[in-house]
Amino acid sequence: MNTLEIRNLCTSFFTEKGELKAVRDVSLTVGAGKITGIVGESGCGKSMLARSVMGLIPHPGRLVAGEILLNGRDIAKLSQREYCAVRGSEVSMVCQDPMTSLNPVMTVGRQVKEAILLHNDVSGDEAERRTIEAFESVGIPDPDKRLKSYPHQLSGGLRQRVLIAMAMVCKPKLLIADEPTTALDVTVEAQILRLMRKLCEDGTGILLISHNLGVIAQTCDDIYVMYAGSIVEHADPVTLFEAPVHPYTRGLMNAVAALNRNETVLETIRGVVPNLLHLPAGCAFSLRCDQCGKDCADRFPEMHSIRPGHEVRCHLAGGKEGT
Amino acid sequence: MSGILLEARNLSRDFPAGHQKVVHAVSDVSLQIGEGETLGIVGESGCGKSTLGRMLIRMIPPTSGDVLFRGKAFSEMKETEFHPIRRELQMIFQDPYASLNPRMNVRDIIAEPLETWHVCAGKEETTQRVLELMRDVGLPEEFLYRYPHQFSGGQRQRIGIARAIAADPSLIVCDEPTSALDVSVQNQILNLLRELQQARGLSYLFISHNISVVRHISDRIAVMFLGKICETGPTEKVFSAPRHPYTKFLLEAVPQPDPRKRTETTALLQGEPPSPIDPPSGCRFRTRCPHATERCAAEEPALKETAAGTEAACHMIA
Repeated sequence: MNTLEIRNLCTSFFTEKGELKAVRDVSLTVGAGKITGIVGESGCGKSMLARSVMGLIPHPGRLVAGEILLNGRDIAKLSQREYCAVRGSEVSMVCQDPMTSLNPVMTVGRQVKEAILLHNDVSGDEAERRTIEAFESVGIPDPDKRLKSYPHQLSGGLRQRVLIAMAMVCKPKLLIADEPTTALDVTVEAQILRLMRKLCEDGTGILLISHNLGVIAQTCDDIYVMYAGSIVEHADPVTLFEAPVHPYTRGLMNAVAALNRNETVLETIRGVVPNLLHLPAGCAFSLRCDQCGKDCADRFPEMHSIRPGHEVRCHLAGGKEGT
Repeated sequence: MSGILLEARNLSRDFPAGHQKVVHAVSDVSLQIGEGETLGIVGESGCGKSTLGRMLIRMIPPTSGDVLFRGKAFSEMKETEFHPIRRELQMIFQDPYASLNPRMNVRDIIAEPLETWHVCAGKEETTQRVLELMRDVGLPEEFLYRYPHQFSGGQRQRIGIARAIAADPSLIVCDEPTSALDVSVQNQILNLLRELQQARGLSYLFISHNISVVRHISDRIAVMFLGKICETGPTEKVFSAPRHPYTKFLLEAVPQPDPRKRTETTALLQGEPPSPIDPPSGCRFRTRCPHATERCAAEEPALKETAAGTEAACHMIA
């Protein structure tokens, strides 16, 4: 059974200017012990997808449709009270900014202990023992001393490790990592990514969200590309990086590859991401696509499979080998 | 390199950190930027690269050392004497949201340097010049009277670039100009910077933590660690044969966008960067360096020429 299965999820924000569709008809799965990546540019809805799964959609947004199956149980229908029991124990999250995610006036040890005591019926000493264990498992040096540190006394990399320890301490089935390394330096980023790979070894499924194709390529077992609120392509890493089919994925790959090949004039994707309040009726990428046909502007494309494990949301990739 | 435009000699900058402590942000950095050349500065956060960039255009004064622009020392110039040179030294900032005044429209933002240095005679001519600049950076003319909040990040960065080139400078310090942008937009901005350099013979000091971006745009690079340059040289030489252990780790740590080249087994740099308040004695990298010896703790390595044609500061390089 998949750890997480999202079916046709839609999240919208009901603003004064109208309905803003942040997440449109997203379906995805995260296998046990696997890292599933979501890659997309800023504003494509990847963070809102994460918050939808956590049941933490900010006002005035709400979940409009869809199912979120966590080990087969639909958590989208849970009440806030029921959600509280799930969050932190069965599904937990690591955010981008390790500074603002921690309470500055509480020692990091106490913050992690809090998560343990909330979800487990254990004594304070036992909770402390588990906290030290958790700190050790994420590679924090001198864990028994670090317990007493305040967030400002730790570097960015250590803070992120504390957050990962906090998220993993109740052994969740699913960990959502929303840009976990974006605020970190490359040498520290490499350490955290290696830690992520180690975490999923004991069965935790990880949903890794990033805008960095390098991070995604290095860590994920399965990748979804998101654009303007919907998934436009889904494939395994090698297929996605070597034979992308959707014009947006191809543009993204070319943009990154051109930089690494050091071409004089870099490839770009023309235009800008559309405003989510005024999305085109058809394909959201049609305004920037060089192959845009008549159908593309009028009809929202369905996600369809072009070979096992490789799905694309594009009218032009209909069933044929689109390389 | 045709001629030296800007030269830094033994620049250092300390900041007070309270409790009589001092942050050694930049320590004894010397470098040269040639006419029409791009010098890239790479390094992790807190290594002093932004402080260095700001000292080079006299936005902040150095604690010691000097900067020479076309052979003239900053330390010997009064603010009034420096004023015409300020026009030649401009800056593009990292955050396109914070670096534009939200209450000024595009015309006024780009016109400000034109007015400061009386480049154009009269309002009409200034507006015409602003329109030309907008065309040069790829902004449609109808945006003339719009305000920053009406633009995307990439477009705002174009406004910032138009403002920087308005007074026809010779050096622009680009401090992480693409870090806040998405990949597709980042490439647009890099292309624009390169076009402008070719058309106008600009020199750039390009500061970034993104190694692929620096590699793409720079003729020469300098790698900084904790306030010091640890390796410098022509870009391709440094990238193809890095000699300093830190440069090697830095290049290997960059996640490659290729799932077939996973670096699950390569050695990673352990630990975190040391604090610039209390830098290690001798070589500043020694606390994280796997090759460190007693000599590294006792003696600070100087930049020396290597066999590869670069310069590196490491005792281990023969």
